[in-house]
Amino acid sequence: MARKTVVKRQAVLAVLLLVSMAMLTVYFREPVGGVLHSTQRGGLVVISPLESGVSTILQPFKDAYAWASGLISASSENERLRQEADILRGEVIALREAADENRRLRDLLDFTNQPSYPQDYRTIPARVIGRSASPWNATITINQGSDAGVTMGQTVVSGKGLVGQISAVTSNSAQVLLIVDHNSHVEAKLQTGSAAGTVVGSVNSLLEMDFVDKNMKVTKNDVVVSSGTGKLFVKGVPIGVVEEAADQEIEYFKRISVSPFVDFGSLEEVLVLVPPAGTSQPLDTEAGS
Amino acid sequence: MLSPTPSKRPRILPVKGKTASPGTASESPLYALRVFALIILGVIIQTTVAPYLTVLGAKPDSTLVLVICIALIRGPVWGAVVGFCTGLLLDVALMQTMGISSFLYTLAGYTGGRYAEGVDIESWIPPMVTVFIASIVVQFVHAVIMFLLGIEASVSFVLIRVVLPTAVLGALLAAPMFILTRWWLGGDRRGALFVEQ
Repeated sequence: MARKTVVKRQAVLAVLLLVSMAMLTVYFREPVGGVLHSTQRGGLVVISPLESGVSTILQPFKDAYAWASGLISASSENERLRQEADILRGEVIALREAADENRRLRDLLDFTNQPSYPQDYRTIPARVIGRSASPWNATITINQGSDAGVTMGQTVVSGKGLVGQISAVTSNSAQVLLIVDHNSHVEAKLQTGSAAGTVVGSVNSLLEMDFVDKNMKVTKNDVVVSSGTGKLFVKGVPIGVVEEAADQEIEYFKRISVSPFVDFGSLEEVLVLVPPAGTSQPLDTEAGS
Repeated sequence: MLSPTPSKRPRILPVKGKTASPGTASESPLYALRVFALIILGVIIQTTVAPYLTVLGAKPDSTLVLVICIALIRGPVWGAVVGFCTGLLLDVALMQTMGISSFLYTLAGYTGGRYAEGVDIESWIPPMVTVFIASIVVQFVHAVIMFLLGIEASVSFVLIRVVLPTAVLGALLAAPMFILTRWWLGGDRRGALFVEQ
């Protein structure tokens, strides 16, 4: 009897492990429209309303936790924020002047063929209803899907800057691959125009700007924006500031650490940028799969 | 000898006079439904609440804690099946590569259930210890799988910022979650099919 039970147990274990490994293999080999990917999207259609409901119910508790943990760092942060506010106030005035100048220059240069971000883009506001807690998978789930006009590859932003790109869509929800994910690659440039490269994510949620010409001058606090090259992301969206620029003899390119503008840990609302009608979608394959 | 015998290991006694025997409520569809509801709740909490509970940069893996708790209460087969279903649902909810979580949680559930056969789980220590060790192993194997899939990460970062804090958080969650899980499942220890009397 005991022997039979042991065999039965081991058989159950073996079957479940084999099924898991088979799924893992098939998932990697099949195309985005394959059986497992479709099943996964179908499952998410069912789960996402539950996530949305629970997320709404628990919002006050999450806010309370964030408030309590924020108190710990509040005093030291207060002074830093005051200084930052002074600097930003000056920058706002300068930027307003720059915006006026920019508009005039654009008229002069006849930029009619360029997509003028963000005026031509329609935005879809969405709430974050789920997110991965695993460092291996930096994604969020939002409560808007294909029914609202969300499609694969659309750029997702927050009030502070670039968040990521739609990597999977169901009728009522969508998954956003964050730019800090190790699978994310964003063609970017410095706002000064002095250098261009690719901003890549990593497992430790830091950004690096790679493939930057070694001869280019890069200084700390330079602003990095999406370049729009390859049409994967909308052009000109702020990504972050240069934290450190390293020149190593053995490297072909300059490696730049970028500190993102967006605090991905506290994202609650985002905007999905919908390109104007007639514009081709930037991405037609599922990112990260 | 894989099967524990009363002479070698302490027998797991039912709680509060309840005896698991063939045909009891613990094998009924209603009971399975309660377990399934618990799994759904666990996955939703893991995707909506757990990511916000950051302590020392780590986030708790509440689904793994749930799998271990059920494995400790119901034994290795339930542990493996619940681990598989939980992992599958988690992969679906987070649109992750399907199969990774179910593989890891199946192993964790089975091993947790086997461990429970040899200890007195009336104490709060076994759930904490089991979750702590299971978290370390699961996170480590996960890191190895990701490395084999071509995703690189610094070993010190994975150990200090991911594996250890997650294991500690999981261990802290284990005792209250074990009590809640046992209450929700009605106090039974083992499925009738796998009790060795």
